[in-house]
Amino acid sequence: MPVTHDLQQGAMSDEESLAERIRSGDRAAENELIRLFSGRTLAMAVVRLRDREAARELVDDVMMAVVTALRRGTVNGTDRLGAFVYGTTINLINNRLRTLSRQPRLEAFDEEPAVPDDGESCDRDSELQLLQRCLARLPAADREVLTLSLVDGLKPGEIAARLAISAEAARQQKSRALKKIRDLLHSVSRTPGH
Amino acid sequence: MENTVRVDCDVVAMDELAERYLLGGLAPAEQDAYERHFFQCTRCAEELEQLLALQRALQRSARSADAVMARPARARAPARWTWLALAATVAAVALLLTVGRRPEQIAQAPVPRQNPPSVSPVLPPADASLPQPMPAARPTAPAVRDSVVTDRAHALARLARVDPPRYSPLILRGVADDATVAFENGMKDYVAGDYRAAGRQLRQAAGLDPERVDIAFFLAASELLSGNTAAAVPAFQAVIALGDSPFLEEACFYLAKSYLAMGDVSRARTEFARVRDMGGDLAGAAGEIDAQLSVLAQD
Repeated sequence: MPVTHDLQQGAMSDEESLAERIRSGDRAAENELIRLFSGRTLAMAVVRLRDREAARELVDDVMMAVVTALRRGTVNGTDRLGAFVYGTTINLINNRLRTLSRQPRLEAFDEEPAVPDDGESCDRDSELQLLQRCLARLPAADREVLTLSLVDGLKPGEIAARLAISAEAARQQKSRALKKIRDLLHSVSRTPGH
Repeated sequence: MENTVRVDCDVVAMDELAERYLLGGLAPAEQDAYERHFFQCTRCAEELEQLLALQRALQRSARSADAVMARPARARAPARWTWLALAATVAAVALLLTVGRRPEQIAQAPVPRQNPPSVSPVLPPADASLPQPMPAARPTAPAVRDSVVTDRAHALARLARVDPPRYSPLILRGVADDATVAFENGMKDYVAGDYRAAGRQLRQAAGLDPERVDIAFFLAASELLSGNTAAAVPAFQAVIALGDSPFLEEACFYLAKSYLAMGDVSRARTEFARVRDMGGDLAGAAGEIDAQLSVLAQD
């Protein structure tokens, strides 16, 4: 049996209730919905658009579309809000990609590829700062493995060759480093909703 | 085309889907299935969001490191090291002039006041941007002693200076509890530079939730920055006692600074050595300060 946590199983009534609250004009419920889905929508948009700024704009558009539909009560199957948000996201991403493909490219072909930008909103800055604190707590070797893996995109075998260790050791080191980061984050996230 | 790839939490973990997804390494059908899954699964979504943020932090660190490496060697040292270099010079001069001083003389030595960009909890430093003029003629013995004491105190005061730990508000999910509200109020004062007011609010927040490490850390920092080093020491010790956290390294570092501000060089060195051994971002700074304290202690 497939393993999926919460939304499909335990939290169905929560989702329906959230949708109902939004339909009845509860602004706090709208914020709750945005907090619940904006992170994963951003991740999907970043991956598919490869442009963080465009991804942020798209998250706003998705959230606006979803909230508007829920306010109007035009969403079917509100027990599966995640699926509705996903559908809205994929539609808006496809629209954006179609628009981009129709626009003439004025830039030089050898321009730098679109990568995550330096502009940060305040909330992301704070997350970044916290993560940088966590990273600073890791041994340099662990940071190196994470960078090679998550920034340079190297596979464990390639990391192993670079660091003259076995692939298994590289995999374990990365796994330990990620666990350590999660543990560190957990130590400061004991607040409601986390 | 029908999506035939099946993804659940176990598959996500086993096949490292989150990481491969962020790196653009999933086949289209696998990518679609994974996206459908994390829109239904809060736990997998949170793991993905965390990994995305971590990737961003690493990218930024990597870019910062590249930028530093690209700079000419002379420009590489951060601005705050300028005063450390000066302090080293002052310390060396102090060593040359060392004549029979006692620790209590050092602690009581007066130091000219100046408004520094960073904060000196006990002894505000002299103008860090200018070297201190050397006396034109050899002074008499008591004058030499006074000068030595003052110079060493200058050096210690400079080594005790702190830059306020950076803070920007963390956006958290859910309704803020009382401790969080008090913490956020305190941090408004902290950001505004009113460390005494921040300390009052943060003490209240810490009372409401003594195990919140971020509250404990910024309370300790506020105590130190407002000159209340006697309170800063146990406050940083409390942060350290909470165990491994994103604030552990900084807590040890600022505890060392607190000891230094109190003139307890021995304990300060123990803490700086601890920070150096942690091997984190502050290891280099801690090692440098410890080395200079070692020179100062050799008399």
